[in-house]
Amino acid sequence: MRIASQGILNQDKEITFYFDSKPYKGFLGDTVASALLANDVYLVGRSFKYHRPRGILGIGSEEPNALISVHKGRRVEPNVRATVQEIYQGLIVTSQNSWPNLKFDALATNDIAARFLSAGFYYKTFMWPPRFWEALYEPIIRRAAGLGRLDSKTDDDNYDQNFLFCDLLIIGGGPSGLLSALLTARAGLDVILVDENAIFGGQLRFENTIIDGDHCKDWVDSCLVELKSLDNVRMISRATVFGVYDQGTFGVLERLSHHVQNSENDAVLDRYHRIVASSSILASGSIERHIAFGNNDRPGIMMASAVRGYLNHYGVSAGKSVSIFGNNDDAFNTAYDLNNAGVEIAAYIDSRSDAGIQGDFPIFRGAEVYDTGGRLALEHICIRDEKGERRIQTDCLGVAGGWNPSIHLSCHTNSKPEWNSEIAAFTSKENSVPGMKVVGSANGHFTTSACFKSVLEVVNELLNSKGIKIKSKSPPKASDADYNISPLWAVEGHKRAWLDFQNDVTTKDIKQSVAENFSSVEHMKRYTTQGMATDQGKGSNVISIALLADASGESIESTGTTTFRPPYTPISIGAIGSSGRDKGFAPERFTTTHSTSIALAAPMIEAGLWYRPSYYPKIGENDWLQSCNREVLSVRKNVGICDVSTLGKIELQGKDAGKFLDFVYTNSFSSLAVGRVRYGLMLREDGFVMDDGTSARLSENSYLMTTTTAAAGSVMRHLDFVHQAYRPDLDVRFVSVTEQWAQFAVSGPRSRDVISSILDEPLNKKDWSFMACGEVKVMGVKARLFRISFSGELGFELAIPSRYGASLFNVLKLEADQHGGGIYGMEAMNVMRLEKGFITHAEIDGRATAYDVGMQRMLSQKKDFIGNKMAQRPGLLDPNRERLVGLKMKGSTSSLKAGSQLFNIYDEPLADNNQGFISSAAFSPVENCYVGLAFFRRGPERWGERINAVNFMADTQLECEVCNPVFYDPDGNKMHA
Amino acid sequence: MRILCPNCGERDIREFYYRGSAQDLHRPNLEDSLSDWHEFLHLRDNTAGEIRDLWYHEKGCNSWLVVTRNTVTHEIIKTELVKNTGEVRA
Amino acid sequence: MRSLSALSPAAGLCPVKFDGLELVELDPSYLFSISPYPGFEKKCSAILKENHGILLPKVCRATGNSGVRAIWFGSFTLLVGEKPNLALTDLAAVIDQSDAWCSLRFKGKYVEEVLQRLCPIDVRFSKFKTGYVARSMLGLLHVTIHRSGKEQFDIYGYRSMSQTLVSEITHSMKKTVNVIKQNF
Repeated sequence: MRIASQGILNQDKEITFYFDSKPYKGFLGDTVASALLANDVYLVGRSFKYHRPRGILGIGSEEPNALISVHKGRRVEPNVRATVQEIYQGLIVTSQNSWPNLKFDALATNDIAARFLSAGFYYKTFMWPPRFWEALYEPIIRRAAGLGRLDSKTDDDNYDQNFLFCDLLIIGGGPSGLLSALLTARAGLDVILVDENAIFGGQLRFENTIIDGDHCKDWVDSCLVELKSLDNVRMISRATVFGVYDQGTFGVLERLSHHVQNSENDAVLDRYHRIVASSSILASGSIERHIAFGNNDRPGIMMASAVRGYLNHYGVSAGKSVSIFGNNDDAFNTAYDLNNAGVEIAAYIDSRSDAGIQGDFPIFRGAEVYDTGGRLALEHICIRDEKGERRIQTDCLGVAGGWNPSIHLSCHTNSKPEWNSEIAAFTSKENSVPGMKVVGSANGHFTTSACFKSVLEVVNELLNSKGIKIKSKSPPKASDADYNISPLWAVEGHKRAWLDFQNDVTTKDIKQSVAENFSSVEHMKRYTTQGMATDQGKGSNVISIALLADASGESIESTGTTTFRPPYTPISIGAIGSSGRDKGFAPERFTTTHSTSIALAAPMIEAGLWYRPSYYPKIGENDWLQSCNREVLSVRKNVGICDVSTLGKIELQGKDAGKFLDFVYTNSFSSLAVGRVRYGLMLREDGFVMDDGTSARLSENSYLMTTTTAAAGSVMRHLDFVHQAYRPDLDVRFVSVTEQWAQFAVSGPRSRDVISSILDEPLNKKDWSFMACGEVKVMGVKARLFRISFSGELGFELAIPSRYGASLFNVLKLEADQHGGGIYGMEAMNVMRLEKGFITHAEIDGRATAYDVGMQRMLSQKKDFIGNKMAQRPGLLDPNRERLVGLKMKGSTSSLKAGSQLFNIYDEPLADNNQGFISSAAFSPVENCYVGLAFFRRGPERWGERINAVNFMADTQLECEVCNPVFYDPDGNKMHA
Repeated sequence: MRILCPNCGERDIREFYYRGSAQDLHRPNLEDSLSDWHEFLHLRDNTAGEIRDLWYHEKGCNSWLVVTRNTVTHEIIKTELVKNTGEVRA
Repeated sequence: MRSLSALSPAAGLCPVKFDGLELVELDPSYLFSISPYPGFEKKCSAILKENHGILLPKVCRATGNSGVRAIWFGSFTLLVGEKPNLALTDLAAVIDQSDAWCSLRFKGKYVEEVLQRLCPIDVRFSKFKTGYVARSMLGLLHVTIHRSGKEQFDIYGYRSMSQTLVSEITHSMKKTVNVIKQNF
């Protein structure tokens, strides 16, 4: 019921919105909850387990009951709290958890069967027979359970994110947060003030407190005017600080357009801020709690402060004849405000016999509500006092069970709160979070004047610690009275009394949990599901802890709380992950020839972040293998060009560069002649192979190291470590030049001709023997040429500054075409290296030693190097180890697969009989059969044996011959030609 | 989590690579026994309290750091460049 | 006679202009990394001053302005705009990086708002002034950010990732402007 004279909303212009398809009117600034109450709609949802009719309980983000689905465009967002969703013209919302409709819900029969559905019911009941679980129990339970329905369509909403920094983060824009912001901002601190509501003011939005002689609304307005005028204050409303992380990092979710109709596609829905602040003030306020009495969950039963808030802020009376049940002085304010607004008060019931309330309405001191009635809405309450029991007609009951400080954020870094019996609530310990101070009602100060006083103390201390001297001004004067409470958790009675409204946990469930020995608070929580719903038990955890303490004979203090974890309220994953969308998911690395390869229709494969061409299809070729075979044969016969720019390239300079390489490679590089290249093997300190590649000596004091594509980053990290941690004495500097050079392999018997044709000076065969390197000029551009080969053919690699990469590739391609060859991709490169027995990270996968790959002779005995000592461990030199061999599969067209396991012909393919595995396999057009590289027990001694390669995934068993891993040109005549 | 890089100032955890115990700095000599090497490479204390770890400011200045940190309170007590720790053999 | 043609790292990607924001590719001509050997920092600085008119920058700083610049890059200093004097090669590792970096200039009214969406550092002018340099991240990319003016940043990213770099900044420009419009 709307009361025209009350509230701060502009009641001139009406807005229409739809709840369960029916239109309702409201005003700008209304939430769905306030607008429904204004329209006398009390029943808004059904509970999760028993499908009990439920109404609006609170007024803030802690609301457990009034969960709705919001329909926007083609999207549906479930479990939105009606107390948070602001209405706008045309807003469409629906109720949840009811079928066929809210007033008649078929699953409400669960409520009748309630004695079977108590805590632990599922654990105990759906146990046997086991196969029934998947087939029968789970599908039924899943259909019946769940809060709302998830929209399974792709989330095409727009999200945003931010990194923000400030001196001081103030969490909460109520009286304490506003005053904190004013005082610290005036002192010059760089402040961010965050509040979860649409407008600042916190609890003062709902009160009639007088501050410094004015109504509190005016005080809030004057604060906001001043704060907005200051450059050093950033204010973020509709934003929830949902998590506190180490070293002053805060997770914040700002809701940018849930409250507007907009829906241009590019409007941002939510924005995720990571705020870094060395200091923070937690002014998150407090939440009123319920009292457990019989049937305390009927629509119409609300928190007393919510009744007051709906009246004072929204101009809505939550009932025509309202009653109030409280155990503390704050409940008085609700009665006074209702009375002043002319709302009928059916009864004021206080559990304390000495409650100091006065008023022109029925007052029952030392009295309790023990039961309520009304099917879909509250119709009456049953109370008892020393005079006996009586029934009172009422359509709204405001319950004031006391206030719980919102200390959640102060406990996110594992601090436990402590029990404060004076206010019958938990407060956080000093310095729970380094740099965070808790003020106001979040710290248990339940009057505005006490809030202000606590702010002044904390701010003065903070400013002092930052060396800022300010005069300790006196706080604003607030009109409110003291807060006294005498805890009342539950009222004796036979009817079910609800604690957790979302998960339908009752006082009986707590007792049963203790009876079954789940009496620690963490066990009780999991056994009963208390506090495990989307509201995380904000209103109900403390009552259940008190009842648990009572049932188990412990104190509330020793019972303690469960662990507080982020997020404070539900947050959208879409916002948290917004930076990972599109190219933010993983950067793309392209070589200079990328667009050329794409234009040639080469399918790309990802190698780390790089994109590399698999093969270059030609017209008439039906599959990749055909293209690959053609590319291999054309290199073997004539010449091929391949972009190898992705290999890591590290340039080292300094008089000790050679010594440094000696220390990171197993073999010697200081002895390498200028203008020569050497293959190097790099070990981890534990003796296993880390990486391999060639290094060239460019001049006396400069080398160029190459790494594999995959290990470029980890090798750089390793070199930095070895240099900084072990050998800072060495005069060496190194820089990655991977990006500086585009590098192309020119391979095949006619590669020399191709290279010669593009160089400014002809290539002198004598000077360019195998493993030579040097500077050349290509059409006037300085380039580097290396006589190295990864294909087993006569080969070169030509490196040119990247700006010329695409252009040089085209030139090389043209030359190769004219020499009967062409360009080739990764597949052909892999086949050729495999035919030549060259290893890649398929072989050096972190488990292989130099001995395993047949390179033990490369371990220099003349020097120390990383991995030297551990590589000598007897176990790593055991001949029984699985060591590198080749496999050939003559006379079969089946494909040999990497990952196949090896077994002796006469053995069963069982784990105990395993002889090794295939690391790489491919069809060799030269051998005209599948070949592979494998790690095989005592491998090098067993060439010529026949073994079974078992692929357990494809269920195949293929017989192969063990052989030399170098299939192609084992003497190296071609490579050295 | 944020780490104070002696070069760059306080930075977000995402910029750093974690390696492990700062014990890695004390590399034995080649002549030392296999068991010394085994201890250097494999044996680590699992401390509830202060630990010293190696971090690499990989997406920053590329310095290796020793970070002294409390595993219980998560407090970061000290950060130093590896080369300034005095533990590195010249 | 045949000749090779050159392509800049962000060729075809820049400029990007959007609501007063502008992302352009710089053409620095020369980029050389200079890492002095131990004990030679001062001499290197003197040679730089004498031949290029700028000092070796301190950690997290740049020297020089519109013309030749020296930018701290973590493990080295990047000399931008001129070929380093040969005398430096005895005192420092000097390595040609002219083709290794995608050099972008990003300017306009909301540059800070755009970058704060992408970079985990405080880019506000009060904390990150002209001449300041940070080696940090932009999205998942490792970049060097040099504040070259009140509303202007020079950003250096790996050449191979130019496309992602430009795409991330462009994307953020659009979002930033959207949110600013939404808030009014």
